[in-house]
Amino acid sequence: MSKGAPVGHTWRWIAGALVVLAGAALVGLTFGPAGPPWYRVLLDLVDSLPGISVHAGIAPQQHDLIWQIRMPRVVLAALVGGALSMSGAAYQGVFRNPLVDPYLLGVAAGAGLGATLVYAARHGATSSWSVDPVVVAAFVGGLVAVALTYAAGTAFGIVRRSETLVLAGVAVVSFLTAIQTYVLQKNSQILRPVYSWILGQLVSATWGDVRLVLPYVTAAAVVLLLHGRLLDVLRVGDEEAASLGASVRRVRLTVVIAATVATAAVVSVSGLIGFVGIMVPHIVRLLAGGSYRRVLPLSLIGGAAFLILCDLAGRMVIRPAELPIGVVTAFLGAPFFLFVLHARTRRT
Amino acid sequence: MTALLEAREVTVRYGNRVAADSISLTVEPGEWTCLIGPNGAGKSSLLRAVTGLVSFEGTSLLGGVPTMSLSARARATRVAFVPQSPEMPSDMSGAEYVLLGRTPYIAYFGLDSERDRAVVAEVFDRLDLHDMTRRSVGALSGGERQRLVIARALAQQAPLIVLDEPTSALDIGHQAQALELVDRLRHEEGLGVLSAMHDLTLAGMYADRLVLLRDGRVVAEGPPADVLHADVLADHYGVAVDVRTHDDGTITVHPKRPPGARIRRSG
Repeated sequence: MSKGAPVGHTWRWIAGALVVLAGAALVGLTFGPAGPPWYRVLLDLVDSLPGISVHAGIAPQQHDLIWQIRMPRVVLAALVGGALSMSGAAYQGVFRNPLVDPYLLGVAAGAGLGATLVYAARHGATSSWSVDPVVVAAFVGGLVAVALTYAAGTAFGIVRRSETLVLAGVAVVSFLTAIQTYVLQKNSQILRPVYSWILGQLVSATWGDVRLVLPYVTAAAVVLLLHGRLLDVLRVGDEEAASLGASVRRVRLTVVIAATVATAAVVSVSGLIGFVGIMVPHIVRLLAGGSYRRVLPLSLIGGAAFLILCDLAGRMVIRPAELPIGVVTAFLGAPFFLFVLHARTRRT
Repeated sequence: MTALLEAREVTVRYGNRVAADSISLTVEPGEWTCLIGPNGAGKSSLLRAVTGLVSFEGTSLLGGVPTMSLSARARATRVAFVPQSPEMPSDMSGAEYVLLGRTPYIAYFGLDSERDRAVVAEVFDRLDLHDMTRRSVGALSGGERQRLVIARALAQQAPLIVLDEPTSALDIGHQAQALELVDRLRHEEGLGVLSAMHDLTLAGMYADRLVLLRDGRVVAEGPPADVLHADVLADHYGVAVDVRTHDDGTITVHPKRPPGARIRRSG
């Protein structure tokens, strides 16, 4: 490391995190409540590698189970976990508050309202759309909610002060939640599907979901990863960052837009999965330090691995039934977080 | 020669409140101007105005160019601001922290260049801070942190440095150390310095010119010997003071207790 090199060892951390992610993905693919024994799954995966042919000894429908059910589910879990964690880290960076989650400015409330309205409108009839309208409505709702928050924050105060924006977010969330509650009261027959949507699920993950989410998550990830250095400058506060020549407002707006697009996209297919957006960046900070040049990529990779494992646990624990993924993230994540916190405090 | 800073009738308003009222001042290269005055006199507001951090009425020029016509990036190459209580993320290393001073030279999506790191290394050399390069900022003492903040300002390579209460958190030894450092830099590099300070003795010891503010207005200005008068200070601070000029020209200012109040000591 050259003298004064700002963030040493970053690539080593990223390489380590990728190994963990690969391991998590492999475990997520090979184990499940149904399907062939794990070693046959491994053989089938090896068989699929170009230039290698082995006899896995599994039936075609088991092959389909691996490639059409488990694989998209693992990939979607990775996308959702990675996007939520990285967006959480980004929100924490622009608002300089480690307790902020990516739902702060209203993505969740907007998505929830969007989904609720669709459930209420279609009266349980199955849709013939090529894309589930719940997904579209949730995505649009999330984006509209954050746009409302931004508009309100700008109208009532200087967005230079991030507190104004946070307070506007609180107001928008309350307002949208009130509308959602009203709609739910008027249509009590949709309570159950809406509730299970809110709890979050990856049960019905398809390659279609992956294709839907992937472009948004990829674009947002590129934008956010490019903002690592600027988020590090913002760590000294808005005023000092401005005195150092950073365009604070531009950075905040760009980062919020990118993080919101990623969050809204994944929330629309997976529902609200709490905890991931706060805890994964936290654990990353405890292990690798607070520089956003590390926190952002490691949250992306670590969040992906974390959610794959949580989803696996959700499938296995009470099989053949499934635990909602949001329950698992809190149930597994909280003790793990306390463990890391404990280990870390003992070390220093 | 163009002044590093020229403020003409600068007024800062927060809503209806006028924090700084039609203040004019200049800072030339190598010159140290210090704002003094009671709490709420408008010192910090004026410093923020001339650095472009708050909006104001009137004219303020940085190196001859209107402050508000400059981009944040361009301003940061003309003036380095050291706030009263800088926010220092505790897990940043000393080198990472000082590297923040290079922000105006790095493109939006860019990363620090070889040159930026060289400048930082040079600053560490100049200030003899090598033991702090890798240590995390949170583990440093108050005096060390203050030197690091000055190092960050220096890495900005701006000809003007603006310090808001640079010594308020330091003990007497570290106060002198920090101010000596600033003084050395302005003499060696020709940096202009504009500061706000509460300690009148220290202000008089280091600054070429004092500007006494009260209720947002300039009420006295000039060399320390012209401003630090017992009656002037008593008038504007509302406290009786004892001003003494020592043989070496140092002026010291001490508060005096009101007549009748006795110094009581137990034992």
